[in-house]
Amino acid sequence: MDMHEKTIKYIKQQFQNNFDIVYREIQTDKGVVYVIFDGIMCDNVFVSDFVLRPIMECKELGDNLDQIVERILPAKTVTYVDTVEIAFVKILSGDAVIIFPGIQRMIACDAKGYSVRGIDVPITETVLKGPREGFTEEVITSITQIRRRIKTPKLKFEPFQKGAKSNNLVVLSYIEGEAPQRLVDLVRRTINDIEDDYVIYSNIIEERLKAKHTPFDTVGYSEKPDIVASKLAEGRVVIFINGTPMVIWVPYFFIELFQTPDDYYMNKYIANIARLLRWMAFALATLLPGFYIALVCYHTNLVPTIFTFRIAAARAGIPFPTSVEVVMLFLFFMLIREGSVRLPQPLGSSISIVGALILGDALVSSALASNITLIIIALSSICSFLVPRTYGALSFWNFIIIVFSSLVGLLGFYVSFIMLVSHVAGLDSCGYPYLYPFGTLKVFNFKDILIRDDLDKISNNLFERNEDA
Amino acid sequence: MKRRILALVLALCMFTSGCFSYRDINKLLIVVATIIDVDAEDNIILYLEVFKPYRSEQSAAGKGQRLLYKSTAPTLLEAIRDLNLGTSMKLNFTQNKTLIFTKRAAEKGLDYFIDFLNRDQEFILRQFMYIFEQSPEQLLNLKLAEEEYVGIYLYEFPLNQGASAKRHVTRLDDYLNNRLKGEQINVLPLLQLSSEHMDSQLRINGAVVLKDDKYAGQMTIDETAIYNLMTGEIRTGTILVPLDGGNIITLEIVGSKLENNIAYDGDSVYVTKNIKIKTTFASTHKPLELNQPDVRKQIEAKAEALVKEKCSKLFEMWKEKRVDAFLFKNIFEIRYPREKLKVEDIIEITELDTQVEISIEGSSDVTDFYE
Repeated sequence: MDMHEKTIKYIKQQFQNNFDIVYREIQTDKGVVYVIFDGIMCDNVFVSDFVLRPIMECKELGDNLDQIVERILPAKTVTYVDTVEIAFVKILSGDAVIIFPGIQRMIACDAKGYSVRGIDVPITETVLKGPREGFTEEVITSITQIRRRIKTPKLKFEPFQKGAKSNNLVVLSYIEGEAPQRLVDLVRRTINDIEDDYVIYSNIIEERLKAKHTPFDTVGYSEKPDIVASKLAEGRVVIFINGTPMVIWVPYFFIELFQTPDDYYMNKYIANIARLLRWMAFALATLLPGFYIALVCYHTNLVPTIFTFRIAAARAGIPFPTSVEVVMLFLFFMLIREGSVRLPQPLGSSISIVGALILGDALVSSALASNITLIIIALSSICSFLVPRTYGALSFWNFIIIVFSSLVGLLGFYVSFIMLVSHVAGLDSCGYPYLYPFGTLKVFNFKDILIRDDLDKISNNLFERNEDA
Repeated sequence: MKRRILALVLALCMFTSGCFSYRDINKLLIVVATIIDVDAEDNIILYLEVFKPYRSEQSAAGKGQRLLYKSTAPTLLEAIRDLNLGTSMKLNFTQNKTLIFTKRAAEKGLDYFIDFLNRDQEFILRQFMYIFEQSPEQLLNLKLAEEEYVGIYLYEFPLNQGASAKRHVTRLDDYLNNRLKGEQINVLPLLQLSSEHMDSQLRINGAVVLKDDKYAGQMTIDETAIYNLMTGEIRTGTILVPLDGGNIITLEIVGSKLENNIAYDGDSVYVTKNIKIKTTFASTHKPLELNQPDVRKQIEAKAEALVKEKCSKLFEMWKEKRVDAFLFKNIFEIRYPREKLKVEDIIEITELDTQVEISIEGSSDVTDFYE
């Protein structure tokens, strides 16, 4: 059995019990040419017309692979394959691999033809004004969406096949000259260091890049090409992973939690009001329950008299202490939120009815919770919806602030607040302070933090200024 | 690990016990008014008006219940402790914003009670203080049309700007400051029950002057207005000017400015009070030629003379009683911090010169009729 036969046998052995792999044997003047491809993933018409037919109609195959490609194969993308392992990846990626008799190297023709989800409006990032398209699970499509926005050869897409068994395509992207080289090197090294067998979702890379022991996200993510393009323009490093529409970037800063695409697409005054609301909502969502407990259980003298009466009357007959009541309602809201996220969309409204009825009415009328505490928790929860990316961190810190306020009143509230600030201030995202540009007064012109100034006045490249300092 | 747990337990014990430990707001009896009286044996009689939150079995919503308590003891704290013996929840004074002393208690001297009110952590400093002439039971049993709680009604009293000229407001923090200055004079509003004013049964009917924390005399409502003018505490008010032919015109005060000048020659203290009052023409009973500058000047002159006369009368009244109600000693101590007076009461050697300047600015409807 010659080398040619051995290779075919080995490939067939490896692909045993895979009905989708197609083997075509074509008799030529030099012997049998094997074309191996995935019958489901490949465009069969393309394979027939541009791979099989030219070989079949060829009268004289020749011995030189370059000449074969030049003379016989009209397929658009042709690559040489040196090892069987690469041939496996190519076949499973939708290429047709051709094995010629007497030639050790193989040829792979790009013949991808599987159906993918079309470009759609991302449901998690809606905008009032501005582009609606979102990324798809197909990384190639995502890359074209970026290319269409940034047409410069400086925009780089470095491919990596990650996962010893999944062999998934991971693409590192940045704009040369905009992104700091040490950041690019760091991310490249991190991707290279991945030795997992299966790399099929973004969090595998994300967890390696983000700060440890914190509920705050220090790696950004989005499924909107316009956002990712602007991040690239700012000098960030972006990572695409085949199979997920979520594209991640580093570094990611705290202030980005409060920025939305509409901030830049809409009238700046309207956008600034919305952004200030988000800052206020973040403060309320984090601090309100703890502050309420501190005032109501320790420092009643700071509450206006009439309001004291209202709270006291509302709480009359409630069997639980205020702190337990707050934690209980807090958990109820978390349950409802979790339930409504996991529930199929048609059933989503039913959980809001149950939630509204149980929490809004039955709890109060059954004297298990007071309506004022309910308002506090509801307000805090609604506020957290304004900054949805902080939800996990907010819930975590909310609980800590509630516990501290329950133990020591306002003193505990202040202590836990300082702990929160110091925690956030201590985080970093790929070596950049998470609170940036706070703490860098001299080098940043503060035009896009609490409010946004005119677009031509806000900084385009954050790192350039920072690294000059 | 054991050390950490121990430290946590100790920290919890330290922080979560004591006067300001965790206490649910519905587990408190919230005091809204405190009335302090004394009996013949100098025992303190304490009356409290209290808000108690409760929820009945039938009701889905909580309500508030008004409770009244009375206790007698030699000291204030003892009286409060005594009351706690008969209540299911702890009395809480953090919302008490009305402190009422009976005239009898004022005669005995507020120094008898003030130390506890200042020292105790639960009592706040922004409590409004009043003197009440009649029986505390009468006051607490009063059914007010505007408000269920007397304490809240009296807390909101000072917010009524329309009445500010004729009442003198004093909070506990002001009181504590004033009793350390000059001749330790404090002026507290005098509360009285009245059946003449239909639903407005509880009224401020003048002011009580305390010297060294003890009752030193009182002023009528009109005298209080003049007093407020002389001490620069007036914001709004009215001046009634009788004119020839039985006409009475009303000038509404829109602002006033007081300037005190003091001089001491070793024997006498000369005080000049320059009072500048801005008024607007509020009403007249009969037609007036307000366009005539002479008429306006005449009204201003009459009003000035009237105010000046009232100021002199009030000064003479307090001079006779030898009470430095106008706080001349305070002004003197600021101007002459090292001088010692030869007399005990400054008012004895004080000569007052009051200069009143009233200007009429115009009516609220027609602002450009003048000039």
